[in-house]
Amino acid sequence: MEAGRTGEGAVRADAVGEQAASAAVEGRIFDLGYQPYRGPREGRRRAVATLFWSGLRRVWGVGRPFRAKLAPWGLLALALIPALIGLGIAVLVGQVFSPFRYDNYYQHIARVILLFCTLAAPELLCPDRQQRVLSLYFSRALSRGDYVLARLAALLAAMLAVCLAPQALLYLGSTLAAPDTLGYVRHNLDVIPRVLGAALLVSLYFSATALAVAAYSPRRIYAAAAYFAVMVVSTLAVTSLHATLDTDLSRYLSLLALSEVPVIAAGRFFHAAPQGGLAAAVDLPLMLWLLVTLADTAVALLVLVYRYTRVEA
Amino acid sequence: MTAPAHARAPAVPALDEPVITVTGLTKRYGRVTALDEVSCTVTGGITGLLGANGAGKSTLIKILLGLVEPDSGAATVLGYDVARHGLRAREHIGYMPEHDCLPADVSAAEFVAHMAQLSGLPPRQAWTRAADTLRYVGLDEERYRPIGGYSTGMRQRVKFAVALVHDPRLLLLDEPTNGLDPAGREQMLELIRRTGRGQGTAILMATHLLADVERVCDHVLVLDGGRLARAGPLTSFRSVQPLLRVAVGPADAPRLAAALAGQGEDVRVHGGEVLVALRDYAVYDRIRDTVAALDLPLLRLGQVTSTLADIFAEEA
Repeated sequence: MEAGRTGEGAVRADAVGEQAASAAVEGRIFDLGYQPYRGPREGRRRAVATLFWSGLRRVWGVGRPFRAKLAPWGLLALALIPALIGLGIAVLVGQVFSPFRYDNYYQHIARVILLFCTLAAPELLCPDRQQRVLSLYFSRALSRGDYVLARLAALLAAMLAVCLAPQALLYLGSTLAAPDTLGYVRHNLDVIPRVLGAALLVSLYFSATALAVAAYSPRRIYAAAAYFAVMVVSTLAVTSLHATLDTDLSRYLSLLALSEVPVIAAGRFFHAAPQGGLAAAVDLPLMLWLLVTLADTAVALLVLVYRYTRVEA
Repeated sequence: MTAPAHARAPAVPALDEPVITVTGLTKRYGRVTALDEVSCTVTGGITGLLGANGAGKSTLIKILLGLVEPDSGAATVLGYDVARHGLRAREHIGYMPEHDCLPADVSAAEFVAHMAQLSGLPPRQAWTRAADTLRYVGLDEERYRPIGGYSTGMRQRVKFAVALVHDPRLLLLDEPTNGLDPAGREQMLELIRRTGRGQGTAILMATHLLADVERVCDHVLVLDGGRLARAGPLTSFRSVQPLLRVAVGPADAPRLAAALAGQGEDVRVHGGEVLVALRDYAVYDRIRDTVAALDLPLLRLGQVTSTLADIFAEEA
């Protein structure tokens, strides 16, 4: 390539420049053509980080039109409302009267969490397959496993934000509202690992299952509809079955209430089964709910990885 | 073959240095054999991978990229064994797929920068490099508009920029002139020529158009039905003689062929038509007279556009 070759513009500038531009700065256009890149290369690490951040941006609608931001930020706001109400009650009439506590918070926002990942997971997987960008991705220094990992991490991060933000608000607000600030922190120090553990369990379960369903749907809308249907229908079916039959079999079948399983299992971290609802009705050990949650998550992850080792690129 | 030293970019391949080495590559899709025991070597410069649709061009490229696993055989790209060190090799490969692969709702500047980062460039360098590459392929102000509104020519250029943005040592282009109008096609071929000649980036260009190969390539590999039909420098293909295609109906074709052969013409029957070597323009007259003398209906008489089929007819 004729690197540094002066282009047409320079020739003209030279011709005029003879008389006119003795004082003026001479304009010169260089056609540099193709330039090799000699800067840093960070390889696979940078590739995975790029997919993670681009995934996170897509989930929150960053850099996209307003309507793409509406659902994720609206749902985050909804998830925060019980915390704000709880704080208000705590400030006005006292902590013990608040219906929203660390141990039962996920029950209150379970539907918000479900809806969030129902909408977010397809955003992460479906457009890449639909627009056939995967052939570009997988022809770079990036394995298929890297891709799945980066997308899963992006959804997990977003889900953790939705799960933890209200709890953090509740903790911070309660600390400030407590008459003895240090005393509150000291008494509630053990809450932090419990909240983190429960948030991780719930987030990982919903992220893995939602991505597994999205991995098989050609379009976002189908993925969202399918996931929501699987979650809600399974729960409705086994709940009403147990309500009608009330046998030992129907009790154990309740473990197939897919949208309830992780929320009930999260109670294990607080050693407190959720009051009312399915958990109270079937009265199974929390450990069993926890094991089922972990098993479901593992199956979902296997399905997801299996799909992406085979998906056409 | 062992992988070169860690993280060192392979040097720009010399014109006579093997960039791709393929041995006994076979790939079947069910009962269809896409590649059948293909062995070949690609050196630096621009190599055309010529073949009709379904000849196995895309399959070969996808195997070189590790997107498709071969049933048997081995491939080495830039000194890396594709099966074992595919990731390493892909750091230095740029790929332009045949199909549409661009998201509609982001701008070219954003997408090319995103792809640069996926190739390991840090964000700041990725944006600069994306802007430079898009300017190089001829997209200036348009690069900030969403790709969804681009013409086919612009999209092809964005795809080319994506392949080039990380300054690869080897470019794999799958039908780069697909869907382009004559002017767009010229621009794309010129871009390929400049890129291949200028920086010495090795290029393997799959196409079904002999004319494209003639315009820009130094070497040619011809695939036919999954088999390597011919390989060599372009000059060895230029000797292919133009052909005339004479249609008089399949039943009468052998009779006409025999009569023309009797007059010393270079003739063969192919697919119910008579193919005559166009040695001089008087051949037209001799064909007309012979057809008239045999009292046959002359359904069609014309020069065969130089496509792959003719090379094979020549070979047969």
